[in-house]
Amino acid sequence: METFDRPPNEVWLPPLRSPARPAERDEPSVTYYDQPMIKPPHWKWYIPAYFWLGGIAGGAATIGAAARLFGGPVAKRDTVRHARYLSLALAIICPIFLILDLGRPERFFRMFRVVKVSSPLSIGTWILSAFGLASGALAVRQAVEDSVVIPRESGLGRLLRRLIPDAPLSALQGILGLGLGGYTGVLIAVTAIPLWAAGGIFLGPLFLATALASGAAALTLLSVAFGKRDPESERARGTVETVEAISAATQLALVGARDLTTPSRINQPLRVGFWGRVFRIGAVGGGMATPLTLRIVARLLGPRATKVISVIAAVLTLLGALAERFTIVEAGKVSSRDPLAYQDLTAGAPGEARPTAREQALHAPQASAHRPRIAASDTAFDSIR
Amino acid sequence: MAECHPVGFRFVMEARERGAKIIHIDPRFTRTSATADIYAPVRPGSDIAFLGGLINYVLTNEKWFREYVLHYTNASTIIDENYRDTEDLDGLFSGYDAEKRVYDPDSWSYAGEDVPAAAGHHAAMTGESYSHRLTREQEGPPQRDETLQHPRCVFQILKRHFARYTPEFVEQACGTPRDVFLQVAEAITANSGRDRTTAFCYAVGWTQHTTGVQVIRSAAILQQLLGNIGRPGGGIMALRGHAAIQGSTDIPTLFNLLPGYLQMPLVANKDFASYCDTSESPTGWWYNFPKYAVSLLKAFYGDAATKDNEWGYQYLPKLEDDEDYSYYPMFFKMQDRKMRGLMVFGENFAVGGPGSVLERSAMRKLDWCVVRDPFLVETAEFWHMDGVDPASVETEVIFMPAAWSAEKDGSLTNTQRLLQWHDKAVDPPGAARSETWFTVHLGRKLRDLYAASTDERDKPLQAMTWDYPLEGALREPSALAVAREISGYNVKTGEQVSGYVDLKDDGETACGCWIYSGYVPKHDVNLSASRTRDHAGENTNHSKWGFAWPANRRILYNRASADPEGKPWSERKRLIWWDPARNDGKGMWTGYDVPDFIANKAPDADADERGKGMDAHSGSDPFIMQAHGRAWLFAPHGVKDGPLPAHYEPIESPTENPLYPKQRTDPCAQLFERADNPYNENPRNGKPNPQYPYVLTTYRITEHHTSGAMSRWNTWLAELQPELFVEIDPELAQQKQIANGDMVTIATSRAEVEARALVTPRMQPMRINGEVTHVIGLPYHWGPAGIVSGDIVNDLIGIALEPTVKIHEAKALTCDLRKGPRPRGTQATDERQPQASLSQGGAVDRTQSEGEEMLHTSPLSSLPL
Amino acid sequence: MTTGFFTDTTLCIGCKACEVACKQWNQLPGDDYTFTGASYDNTKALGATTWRHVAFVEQFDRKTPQMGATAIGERMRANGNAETNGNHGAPPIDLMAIRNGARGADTSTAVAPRVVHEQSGGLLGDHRWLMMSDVCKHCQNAGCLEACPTGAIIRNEFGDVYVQPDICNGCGYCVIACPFGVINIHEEDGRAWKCTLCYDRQKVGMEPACAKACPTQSIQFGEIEELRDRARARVGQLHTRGITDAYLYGVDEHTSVGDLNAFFLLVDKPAVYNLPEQPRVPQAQVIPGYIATAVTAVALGVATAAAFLLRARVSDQNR
Repeated sequence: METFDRPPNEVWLPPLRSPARPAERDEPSVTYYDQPMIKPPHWKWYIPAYFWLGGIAGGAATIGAAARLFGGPVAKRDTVRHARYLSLALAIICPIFLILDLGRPERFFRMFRVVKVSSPLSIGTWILSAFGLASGALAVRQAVEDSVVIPRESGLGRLLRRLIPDAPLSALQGILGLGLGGYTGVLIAVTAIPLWAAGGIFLGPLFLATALASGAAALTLLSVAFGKRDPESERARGTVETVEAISAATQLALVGARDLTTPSRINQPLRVGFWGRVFRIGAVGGGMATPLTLRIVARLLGPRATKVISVIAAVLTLLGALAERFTIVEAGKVSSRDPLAYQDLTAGAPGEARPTAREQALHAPQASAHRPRIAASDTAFDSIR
Repeated sequence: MAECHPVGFRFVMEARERGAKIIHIDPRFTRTSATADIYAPVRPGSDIAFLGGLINYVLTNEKWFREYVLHYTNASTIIDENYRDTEDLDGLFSGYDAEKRVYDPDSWSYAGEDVPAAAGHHAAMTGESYSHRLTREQEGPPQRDETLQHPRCVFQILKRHFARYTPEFVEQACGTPRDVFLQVAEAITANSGRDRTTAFCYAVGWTQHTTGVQVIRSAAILQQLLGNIGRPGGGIMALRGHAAIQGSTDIPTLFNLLPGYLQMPLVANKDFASYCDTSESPTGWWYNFPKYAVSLLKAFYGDAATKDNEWGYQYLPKLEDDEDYSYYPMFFKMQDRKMRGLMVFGENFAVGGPGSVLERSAMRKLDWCVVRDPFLVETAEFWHMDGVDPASVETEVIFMPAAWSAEKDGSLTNTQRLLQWHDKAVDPPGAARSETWFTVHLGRKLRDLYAASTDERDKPLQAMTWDYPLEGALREPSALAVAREISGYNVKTGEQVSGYVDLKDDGETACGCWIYSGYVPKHDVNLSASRTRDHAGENTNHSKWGFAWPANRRILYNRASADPEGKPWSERKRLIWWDPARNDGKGMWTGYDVPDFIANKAPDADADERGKGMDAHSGSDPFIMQAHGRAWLFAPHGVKDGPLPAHYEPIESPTENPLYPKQRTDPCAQLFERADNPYNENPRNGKPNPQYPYVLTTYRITEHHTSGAMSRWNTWLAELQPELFVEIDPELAQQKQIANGDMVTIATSRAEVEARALVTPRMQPMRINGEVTHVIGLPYHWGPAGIVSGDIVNDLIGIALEPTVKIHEAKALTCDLRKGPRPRGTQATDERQPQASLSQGGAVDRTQSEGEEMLHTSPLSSLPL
Repeated sequence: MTTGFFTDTTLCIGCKACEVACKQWNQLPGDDYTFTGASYDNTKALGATTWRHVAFVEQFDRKTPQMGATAIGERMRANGNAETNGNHGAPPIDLMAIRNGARGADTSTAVAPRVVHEQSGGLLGDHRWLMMSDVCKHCQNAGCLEACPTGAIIRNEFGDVYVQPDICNGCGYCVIACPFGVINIHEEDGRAWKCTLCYDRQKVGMEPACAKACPTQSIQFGEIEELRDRARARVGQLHTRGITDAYLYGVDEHTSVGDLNAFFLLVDKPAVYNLPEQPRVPQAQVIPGYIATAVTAVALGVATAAAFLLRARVSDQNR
């Protein structure tokens, strides 16, 4: 069965009992042959990959919008262009990944039957769709501005520029970008998986910060690759790097807060084991702390060293984001198989406990009222006719 | 019972909810134990010690039902002065012939007379005739001592016999903790008497022993002492292994019985008169024997059965006195090539029967073999099992696909003798046909084949009535027509008889099975199909639901539910009683059940001492099938290994007999000491063999059905218990360093079997005779075929039979246990095959025609497990 | 009208008729031929092709572990099984003990046999074998239903949670949203499946297959309020019979999941049956999640904008 990743027809033994429950529990740990109490996610690699790319798209779009609305001339020119083309490219890839992950891909459009606030997946679908449209429109506009395919001053070009309102659409894309970067965190927080549900309040913000950081990193690389060499461009890139630094700082803060508030047993998969190591060393160490440090160092060294460092930092950030997405998803799968973790999640706060057997017995009507008529009763349906 | 009869167990659960106390006595803590109030562990094969302990408890604590015992049992009867008890002769009764391993029961009989055995087939067991006794019978009733003080009266003998069955002895022999045993004893006695009754439910855990019959006897003795026979909520209930096993003994598949428990004629019975003479009892119900025998012969041979040709008696096959035709000897006959052909109907003994190694090798010595089963079971696959080269097997195997119960009309007779009709829901698929179809058409073909013959020995075929109407496209014989013949009819008028009281010995009536008589009382009235149920509160026993033989009686001997004066023992337990007002003042038996008594015979009616049949019984002799109308605490006749049960160890046991050191095992147990049937130890009072230190018991589990023939091919059932496992107690597991789920090997002198270890505290070691004894439990549902497969547990079991009814000993033997899988290529069941290869239906044609090709293509001959 | 199941574990005899009847009626494949070694439970858990699952829990020496100093006894005591009531050990502990014991334990120490010494049957005894037929709970606040982005999962006219197979596109979000680990995706089929409470049978006035097949009325089907009253009465009755562990799981709850249409009468704490003590519907987190994310979004958005504004100023001054 799905819950047992083991070839069929080979004997399965109750696995070695997981480490004792955290000290705060006074009762001995009881599991049902260490069976998982919930099911793991079925997600293939598409989903964490989508979390990553979608984040980059959202982050880049947000930065692009900010540059378009508040940036200087150079930022308006380069950053915006890179952001718009990048978001379009990713906005095309992301849905493909999502659809491929469906059990019945041909039915992806069923997602548009409803708008469900209770389901971040539903909300996310609409955000992604809207984001895709906005990105598409803005990319076209950008293409016209750059006289790609359609000359800027041609009739069609003019028409398009009139039809596609640049500023408002940018603003919209920016906001959608933030949503796109953040909703995935909420999506996994709103599940029964202990690792995600406990301290889930931080996951949306964390995913958002990561999105912005990775988006910024992507734009940095693009500007290094295609941007002009003049100081203005350098400065524009500096701004993007500043955003990245801010996001990295936010990420670290959120990771810390989450760690502190999540019970140790539940947080185990992110602390120990393979995925734990990848998360601590790769995602947090390599992907948040190091780039942040590098940027600060770069600032202190002055403009000379920046280019090399910023490329390294950007690459690290992107890889870190990738690692974070994958570790959190994979660690979630591990967590879903740990009944004791789920018991901790569902232990309930003091005073929240269900009525005791004795209390329930007190509610009970006259005991003599009911004796199961086992042999006699043919169908329980009599009772509801 | 919850394990193997979950649907029937609903009534037990209902009773529990009404406050009944549930006691479960079993070597293992099973699903039944989980629901019981008291669970008592017991060592397999020590049941007589346990029940004897209860009997002793009842006697020594004066808990027995005096009035019942005094009037309804033979407690007061005085036994022949030559009788010696096992207590006198160190484990043997008087009359033992060590040479032949048989008893001469003469010294067991009532002082001054011989007593015909119950159930009329004593001759099948003794080959003796009554003729020389009839005179003695007339000399008056047996000598009795109503004060029960006479040293030779049954009651005193009983007391002496069971005196040593103390709670301490029970603990020593059964491993049942003393206080648990006492809990059981107190619960049972507290729930017996005028106001309460206790019922015993048992299955083959009691019967499949060399002392099987005596175990049931022990229970009978206990229930008689407590007054729990013939009363509502009492009795001893055999939980049969299939829906219709009861039916298969009523209309028997047994070598020594004709339908209705009429005995099979012996060669010694030269003519019909002598046949009746050996079976008929001068007193009691069996005085009617000739009526039933003649009616049966009329049903068999119709007009060809006339007074002049002894109703066709000579057409019947006869039993050689010195030949044993029972189940296991049959296989030895095959093994020795004395038996050439075999027809198997819906049985899978290649897996399901003890000594299955021998049974498979015996089948390979046959000329031909016909197997009818819904699935291609191992019994049709023996020719390429056990690593044999099919080329070396001469046997022609013909597999006939059989229809399921839902694919045919018919009736099932279940454990409480209840006939329930079932209608066909769908036609059987493909070539599958019902047993009725197969048998009737086979009969027709044979008769046509011999129609022209003038040979004397073909007369029976020509004479038999075989005119069942064929219906539908499949030309299916009408099951109802068969039912009509079984129920009986008047050959002159063609009217159905209303019951066996209508049967005549003058050839006017025909009846296929007298005890079933009346279940089709009118041409188109089939009582077994009636489904009227009583409603809650009605103090009846659903008497309009189906038909319970005899005469739709729900409780046998129910005259015993009233006291000698004919009044119910108590309001709470009233069932039938004498109503003087009825029958215009002459009085009549009435109540909630059909009285199992002469309807208008008053309680105070005296026995006619010179009378025949029922006239010889008084109005307070409830047990009408017995010669003297009383239940047998002491069996003067008919049980081959003694008039009273005594504790003997199983043929293979890890310990000495704590009661009779000189006589360790049953002195009459039927042994087969031959090379192809080795025992773990010398079966004649041998010593325990340290090589096989553990007790092995086999059983069924809920998820599968007997040999798995109906469950291993069903994905939904197969996945519930996918592998053969062995239940081991934690201590043993630890000693052997066996982890839960490890593959382990169970070994006996017959075979080795591997299984997954299921280490569970539900198994507990016991202290037997001071020694720590481990019991190992093996369900036996698996075989090489089917969706899920496993080793064949019955290969482990040797063949030793109970002397009276020849049941095998499969519930208690010894074995060894090793960690790790069994070595390959050494023992019988080494040939294992992936299900795919076996579940291909193609095997049928293979076996018939292209045998040779498939030798090379079949994975069966090559693949290891 | 709302219908549901009342599963009374004190009447369960572990015959698994419910499992088979369910698979037969719903034509679910038999697909897992694995021997687990976990008592008689080879089904393990509910899933896409298993909508009824009978759990088996062996509880031995609940009260008197000192009987016979066996390794098992030691472990069980060590694991606190011995405590008189409430917290009984689970079988894995025994099995573990045996395995550890088996690994390199010295076999020379012949252990004294531990005999069953006191009334052991029933639910009051020293030894119990608990059986419980698990099924989809059809929660009042159903995580799967709330999570489903396509609206494939609905609450039908009988008040039960039902997956419409013609709508589901197998996104799998319901699987991780179920607080009881019931619903699952079928790998080949690609869609999510779970107990329908025999919607098709109910529509024609028949009771669900499992309830019909249950020989001991351990599974009772009916109108939910009537069932709850029956169940409350049953609890009272069991208490008067001394089985004071008996309580209802899924009735009169104050968890975010709310009461369950398929509720249970248990005699030990939920974890013993692999049920969560205080199940929580994941969607309780959704609004806080949105808000936290929105706040962060505003903060980071402003910061980003600010970064560009400042930079723009600086560059203007430079010009």
